[in-house]
Amino acid sequence: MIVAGCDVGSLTAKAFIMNEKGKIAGEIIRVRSTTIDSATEVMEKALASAKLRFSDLDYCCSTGYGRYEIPFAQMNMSEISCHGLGAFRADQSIRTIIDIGGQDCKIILIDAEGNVLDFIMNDKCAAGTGRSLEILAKTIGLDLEELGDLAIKSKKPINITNKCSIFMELEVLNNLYTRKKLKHIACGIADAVAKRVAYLAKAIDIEDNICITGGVSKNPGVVRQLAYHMNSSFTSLPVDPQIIGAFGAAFYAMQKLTMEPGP
Amino acid sequence: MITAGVDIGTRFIKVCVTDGESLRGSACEEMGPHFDAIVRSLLKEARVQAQVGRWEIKKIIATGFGGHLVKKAAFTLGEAACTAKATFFFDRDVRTAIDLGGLFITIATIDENGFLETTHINERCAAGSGKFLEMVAEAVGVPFDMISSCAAKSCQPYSFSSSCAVLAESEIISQINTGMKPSDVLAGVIRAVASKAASLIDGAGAKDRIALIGGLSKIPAIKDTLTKLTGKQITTLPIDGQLVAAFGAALIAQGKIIQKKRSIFAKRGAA
Repeated sequence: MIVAGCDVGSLTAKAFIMNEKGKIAGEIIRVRSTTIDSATEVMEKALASAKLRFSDLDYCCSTGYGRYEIPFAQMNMSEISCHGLGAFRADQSIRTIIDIGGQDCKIILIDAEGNVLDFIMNDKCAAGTGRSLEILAKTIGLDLEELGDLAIKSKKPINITNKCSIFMELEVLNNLYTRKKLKHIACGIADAVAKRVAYLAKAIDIEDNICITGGVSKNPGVVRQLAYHMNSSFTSLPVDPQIIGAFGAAFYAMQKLTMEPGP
Repeated sequence: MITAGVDIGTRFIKVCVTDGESLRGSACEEMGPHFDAIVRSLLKEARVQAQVGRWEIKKIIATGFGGHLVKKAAFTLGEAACTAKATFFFDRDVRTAIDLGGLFITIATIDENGFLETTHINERCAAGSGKFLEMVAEAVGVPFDMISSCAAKSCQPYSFSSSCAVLAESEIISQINTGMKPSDVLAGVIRAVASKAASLIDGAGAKDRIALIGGLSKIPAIKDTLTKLTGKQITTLPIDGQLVAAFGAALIAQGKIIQKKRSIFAKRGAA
């Protein structure tokens, strides 16, 4: 039995293929012009690395922004459920998932069986998401990996007080013009994004253990500053945190197959 | 006396040289990391245009969000004070000046004597700012001076589901990919920008007549939509809208016109 999860987000598309024993392949790509293109391409890439064909897939579950448009998926689940189940299956002690994605930020609470209890989400404003981090990194001429690596070298982040990403950009420029050190600015950027997420987290009762998923979780600067602002530590997952959504979707596909035996 | 005003905005740097009677020379360039060199070259450009020598400029006043960065300036002022000055200089009947700039939408109300009364600024969010329009125009691939004519072709202006400028940009990219016309998108953005400005105008309790200044005043469609939305009389000044604050700073640098220092030093809300 081979199942797959496909997560098409706002900035990246993820695919995960597994069988009863566990992972077969996982791929992440940047989104293409349409949802269908991105989904097909990422799934083809994952199938190629697993040396499989589309016809080998028994069941596929889609999630993310574009989950209704994916032609090869037989079912779809919301990304909140998928992140919940994915993180739980990766580490059973997880109760809170902080998902910082490309264009939104979610905090999901799950119970001891992996069911979603509550969640809170910011999708109105780009502050505190990967997009804002990307814009600010571009402002100081760094790419995201460089920003994360540089940010952890600084202990004195600049203080960015604005809440809007575009106003933050201005504040960063102002600091750049007054010749502040680049590492302090980089750390300030990570800090600004972390502050927005921490602010969101205040609105919900968080329980240990906490994990971070989504693309931004790969940025050590943001993770460090977020741990500082939330005054807690994060459990690292055995699975790539960016692919957790697709991972959870694959588990839903597996559940569906095992619950309803085919004809 | 020849004086100069330097306006360091969020997107552009503007320089004006005046003799107190008229605008003698002006220059404008995009903001960049080496703004010191930009300011120097712009001052030279404006000075050459005004046909004055290097030492004839007696005083420079800086304004704008980056005004404090200009080393040559005698002092810096809030841009609302400068726009009020320049607006009153051109049109004595104007009671409200709306500055639609790169990031800030500033509304300055002016009393009968030409002094600044109140200022209102969009402080928290860049939704509906010039940068928003610029980002969208770039995303749909329409040059800035073509925005108005392109938007005029639209029959069905697109209405955005997200008000955040950053999220709207990616929303547009996916809309364009699914076959949305650039003209509809642009018409939608213009409506969004104008309605943001209109809500600020209502909040400020703006009185007739209203002068539209700042970079976005160069787009006729904005003025038309704003007139429709507010039902107020909106004019533009006989000067490039982008230069108004710099010209006001240059006028204030003339010195003799200052009567009430208090109102000229009125501080900007943000920053």
